[in-house]
Amino acid sequence: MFVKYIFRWLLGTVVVIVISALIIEVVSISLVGFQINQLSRIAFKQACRYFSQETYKREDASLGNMSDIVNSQGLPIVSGKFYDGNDEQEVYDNLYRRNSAFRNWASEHKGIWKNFDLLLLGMGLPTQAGTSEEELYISKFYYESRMTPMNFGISYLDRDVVERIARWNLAELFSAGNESMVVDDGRNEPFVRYKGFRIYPQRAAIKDIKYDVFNVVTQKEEFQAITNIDSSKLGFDGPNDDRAKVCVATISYTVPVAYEGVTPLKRIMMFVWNRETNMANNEDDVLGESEIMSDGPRALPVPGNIVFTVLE
Amino acid sequence: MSDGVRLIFKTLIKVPVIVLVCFFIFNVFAFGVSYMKMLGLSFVAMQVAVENNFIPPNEYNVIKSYMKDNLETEILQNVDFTSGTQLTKSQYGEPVRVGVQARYKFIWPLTPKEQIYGEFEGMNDNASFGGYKSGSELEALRQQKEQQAKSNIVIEYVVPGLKYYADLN
Repeated sequence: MFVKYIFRWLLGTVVVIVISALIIEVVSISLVGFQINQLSRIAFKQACRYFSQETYKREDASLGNMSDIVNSQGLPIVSGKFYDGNDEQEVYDNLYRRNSAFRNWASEHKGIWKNFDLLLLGMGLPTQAGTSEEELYISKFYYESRMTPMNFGISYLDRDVVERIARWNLAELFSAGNESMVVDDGRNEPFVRYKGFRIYPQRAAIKDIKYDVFNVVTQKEEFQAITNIDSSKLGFDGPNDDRAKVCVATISYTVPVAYEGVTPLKRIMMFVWNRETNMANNEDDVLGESEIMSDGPRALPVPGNIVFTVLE
Repeated sequence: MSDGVRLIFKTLIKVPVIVLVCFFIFNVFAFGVSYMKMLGLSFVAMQVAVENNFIPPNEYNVIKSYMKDNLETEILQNVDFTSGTQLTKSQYGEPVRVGVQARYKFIWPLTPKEQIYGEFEGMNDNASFGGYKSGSELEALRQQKEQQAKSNIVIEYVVPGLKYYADLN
């Protein structure tokens, strides 16, 4: 009778612990999952803004690059070098004149904006600008002053640079500057611990950047539907106004995350499971943590979209 | 002891126990709801801080008015930003501290409402009773006590500011 009583209590205790752990996990997933989604969105949005502000045009030697994000051993995990080049002109040329992605994009969008055509002429790229003395002079001035499409209100984003900035943003945001939260055990891909989740900033990626050009005078509704901006209040002169042709970039991104759990429930279950299978298969002792949490296939993507535009 | 007397005593013990358990459940539920509200608020404040590297004055005023108008109740009081919340601009990548706090007032039966001791004029060992403070004076004292009460819900984050300011080094 007494033994039965003890077993009943043991069973009851286990049931209460398991149910409590499950409730905590469900609440944690609901709250933190939402946070990860929102913070990922902010990281990518701010990366677009950082790029659009032409942060490499600085007076100091950093050229808009940041320090690397390191783990607790001081090893760099996420690079803070966003821009390729050793000086402002080199970065500018690598972003535009020598960049095959920009050249392709420019060839698809030439002839839409007069100033952009002049800039392409200054860069020596195919353009629909004329070759009068005045136009040649302006185009040379545009190139020498390192004008960019952003300066003319054209939203062009360099995919590689924005991706690097977003990765740095993600790692910094989720680790909150705490090196011990950045983990690289040498066997798995580096990740950042965040409230029971693993975030893989190095595998965060921009899947696609889709560019749409709207004439916001004649395509007011379409433009408002995608950007929520009422173009009638922007004060453009008419459909032929160069500023009325607005380029909107839609960025699709993905951030891989995996769930570890905040309670030891999962580890206990894995421990019990491994003990059982190991005994059956006459294998080694229980699996290590990194083997239990094998990263690659278990990481799920957090997808998202951002609509980004600049207006002149 | 007859069954009738036993029943009376049992009932006498049961009733306050049931009342206390009901209040406990109510407090757990109300605290949970209050905490969730504060969590949502803290997350909004955190997002603003990440996007601006500080809490700009406009956003500060909007959030403050939301705190006063929508969050403060009889049981959730002194909703405010934490004292460490950054209100000045900083550069991209620098750590920003932001947080919210509030005081959850636990509700229990028979809690004395008036907690202002020694404030009645003349109520000390050496003097005779000299009169009462006026209603407005008492109300001011109550307000003061309320504001000095410690917050038991404090949610604070340290996040990186992710906005670049060209006018800062």
